[in-house]
Amino acid sequence: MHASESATGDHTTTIQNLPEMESSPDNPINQEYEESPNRIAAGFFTPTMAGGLALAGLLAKSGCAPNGPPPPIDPYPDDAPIQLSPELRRLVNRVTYGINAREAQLASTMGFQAYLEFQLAYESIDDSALENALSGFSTLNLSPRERAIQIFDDNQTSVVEFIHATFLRSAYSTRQLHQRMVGFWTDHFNIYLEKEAEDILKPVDDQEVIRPNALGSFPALLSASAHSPAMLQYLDSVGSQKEAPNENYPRELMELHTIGPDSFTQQDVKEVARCFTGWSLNVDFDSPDLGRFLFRPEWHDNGAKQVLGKDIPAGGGQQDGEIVIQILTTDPDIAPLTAQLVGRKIAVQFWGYDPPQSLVDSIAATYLSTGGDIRAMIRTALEPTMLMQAPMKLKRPYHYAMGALRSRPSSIGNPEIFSFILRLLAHHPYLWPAPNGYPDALGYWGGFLLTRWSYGAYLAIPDESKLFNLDPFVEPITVDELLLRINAWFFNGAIAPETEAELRAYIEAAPDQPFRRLEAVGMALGSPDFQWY
Amino acid sequence: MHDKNKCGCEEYRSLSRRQFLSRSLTSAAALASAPAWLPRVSFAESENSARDVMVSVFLRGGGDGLSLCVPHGEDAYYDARPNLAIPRPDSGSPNAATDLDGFFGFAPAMASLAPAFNAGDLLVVHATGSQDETRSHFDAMKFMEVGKPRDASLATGWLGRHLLTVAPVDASALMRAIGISPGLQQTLVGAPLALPVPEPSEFTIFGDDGSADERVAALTSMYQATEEPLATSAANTAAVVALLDAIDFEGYVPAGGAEYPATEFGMALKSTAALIKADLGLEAVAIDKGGWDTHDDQDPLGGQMFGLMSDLAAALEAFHLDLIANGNRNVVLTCKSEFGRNVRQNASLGTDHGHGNVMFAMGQRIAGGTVLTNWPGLADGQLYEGQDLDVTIDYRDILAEIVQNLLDNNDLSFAFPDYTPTFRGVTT
Repeated sequence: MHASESATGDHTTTIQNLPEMESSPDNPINQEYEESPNRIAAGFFTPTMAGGLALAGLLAKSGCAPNGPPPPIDPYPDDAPIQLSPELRRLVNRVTYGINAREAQLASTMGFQAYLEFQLAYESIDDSALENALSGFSTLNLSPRERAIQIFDDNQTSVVEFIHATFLRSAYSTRQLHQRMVGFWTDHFNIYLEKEAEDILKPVDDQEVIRPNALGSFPALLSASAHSPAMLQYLDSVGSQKEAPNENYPRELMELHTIGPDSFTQQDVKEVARCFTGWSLNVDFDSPDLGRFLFRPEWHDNGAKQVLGKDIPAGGGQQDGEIVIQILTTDPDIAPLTAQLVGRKIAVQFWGYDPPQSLVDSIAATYLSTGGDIRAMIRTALEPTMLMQAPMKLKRPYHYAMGALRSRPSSIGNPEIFSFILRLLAHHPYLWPAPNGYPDALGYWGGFLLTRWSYGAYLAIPDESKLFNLDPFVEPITVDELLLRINAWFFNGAIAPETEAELRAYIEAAPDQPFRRLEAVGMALGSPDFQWY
Repeated sequence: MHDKNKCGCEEYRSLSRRQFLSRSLTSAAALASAPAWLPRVSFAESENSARDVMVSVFLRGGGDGLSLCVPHGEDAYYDARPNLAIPRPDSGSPNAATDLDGFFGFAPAMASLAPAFNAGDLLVVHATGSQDETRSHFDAMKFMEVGKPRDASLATGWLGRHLLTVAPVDASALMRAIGISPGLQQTLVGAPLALPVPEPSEFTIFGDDGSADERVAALTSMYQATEEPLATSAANTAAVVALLDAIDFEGYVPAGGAEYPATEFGMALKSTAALIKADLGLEAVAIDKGGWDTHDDQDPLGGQMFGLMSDLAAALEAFHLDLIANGNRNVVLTCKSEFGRNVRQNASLGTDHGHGNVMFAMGQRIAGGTVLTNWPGLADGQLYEGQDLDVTIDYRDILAEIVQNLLDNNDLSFAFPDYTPTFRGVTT
């Protein structure tokens, strides 16, 4: 955890002057970044370790940051998105990080069900533009050992590229529903990147656990997570031995990942902890399997156990933990509890806060009838009639940030600066310390709005290094035409009259000032209409 | 930044920020609706009282109370923690605890709080906490912040309900409560004029300073037409921008030579001190300090727990010097955590989730300089569920007495519904 001077009022180096700093050779953003408190870590379980292994890579003036603005990744024509029906607008909003011309065209052509199936079958979607953009990254497929060697050599490229790739995938992948589910499971199986060694292990968890299973089966995903060295390290299983088993992972496995807090006892925690003794990782630096899962039989409690009323016979070794995972995901008595918890979360993700119990029950029933097929659960959650009765959701800050980028031809630009912005928005990927993941709750995110307003203003300030295309808004057009374009690009034609009236009043106070028109564009992004979806 | 065209709009410029804010806040207050069972209070006038400002500190993750205040008089403590115990004051160890009362002591990392304790401004309460059995962080935090366990119908916090049921100290206050956090802590939920502020010293909208006020005003107006909570939050955001703009955080000089540690928590307390001294009618601040979930490699003498406690103690002592010992401010600070930790260490040299814990209260009107406890003991037969320090003083007993005597609220049934607190003489 870095010390902070900024709280004393050093607001010379804040989001206000990012554009100038970006081109400065002695980029003071780096200084600020290092000293800036981790806003997200402020509230919860900040481990005090990590030190040199933390996100220092984002500070490094490494060569991986592009020098100039790269061209937009998505070469789709710069046309205003087609105006969608309310049903399609809601569907596209719920399954993507934001409507753009491509998704509006696809949804409009295919219709509700076919577009949903198209996004669910993500492997079939051409994502070559993104893949090309990522092909220049050198570290995305490195093994834990290769990552460790680089990081111990003070080379943070693998961490910077991991975070940069996350941004690019969210904003520009054509497989948008897959990306939304990657974000969903990243929260469900939260891992804090600033905990010791997670800069080595979490990128592998993302590569091998979260992304391949995000639209697969829940039991497979849970099993992959349980074996993930990043999870074992994050929840302190790596040193758990029979003499005094560590209860951290066993408790959160049941409370957060599967059956929920009211479905087990402290005795179950102790028994599950016994089952997972010895589930550890390879720490032999000379081994090619450094940082890989390793079962240590000499640490394992081989006695008989009873978990949630189920007997686990003595002598099972590593199988004890495997049986626990099976009980939690497939046992006829226990799996319904997991189905309820997962079903409710999926309902909150796709339908809205406080979903009807009938919808949760339907998704849970789908879990049980399909063996935890995630695609099938999403289909149930997005039943069109129910969906149209859903209340609006508030975009979480990361969603808002990505949605704004998707609304126009754009680029991430320097990932270090984008990281800084997401920290100010308090929603940087992988930086929620507690195991419950970033909340998806209106009460949590619906408070301080200034950083949202600032982000909109930031995107709408013209600068040669800027990465957000403002062309349609600087042409010499009437105020009416300008408002039409704002409505088409940012609101898919559904701007609220009050929002439009405020924008009009702001522009008409000095209608011929181009800068003022762009300020209005920034305010459109900051408006309530762009925060709800 | 090029092309800083100033807006020529005199009409907007003539509308002062304060005027704008008073207008928008009126509409926000109208939108904030209290639950029907709460008593109605008049917001039109202030209550001219000597009410303390409440600073509510929450240690997230389950702080280990047996390290935060060491029961060095307990043999069982040393038996249960061969690698994690703090040596006795008379042990001759360089890491020995500082004795407080012959039975309890402060670990070296907490020793900077001894002056506040000796001055009678710091009260330690031990074997306290919630009597609910949960060892879930998230349930335990929720129950404690709400002020009542397992009531799904209650989403507001104890401090939020307190503020909702008393008239403001200053009727013209722009904000009554701030949570230093990206999202409002549940402790404050329900309070009128309350907002989370992640970084009090950063409060300016990006872009041209010349148009900043006007843009904030226009955005706030836009939000008045949208659904809650965003409409109220927008008005409160504008209020906070104005409030923080009035405070010189950069030039703030603490009293009494206090030096806040340059950490997240130290800076949050320093900003809080500046806010309180600005006399803007602020009545409550909620601050979190995370990192206490020490399942692994706890090390209270030089590692993880040492760092956490050192930061906590240094920041609290600076706050004590700044506002309580020298500042003569009407302020009370409480510090608690969702639960304590298992008396016995685990194989990873950490401790797992437990039950009873320690709690601190600090202020000029706090009956400090003592460790208030009904100590249950740590021997095998004395442990809660065979593993934890028991809870013998409900945390609400402490909070309720403070709410009544220092926050001037005589009706505790709203802050702490369905609980009859036992007052234990924690205020003077």
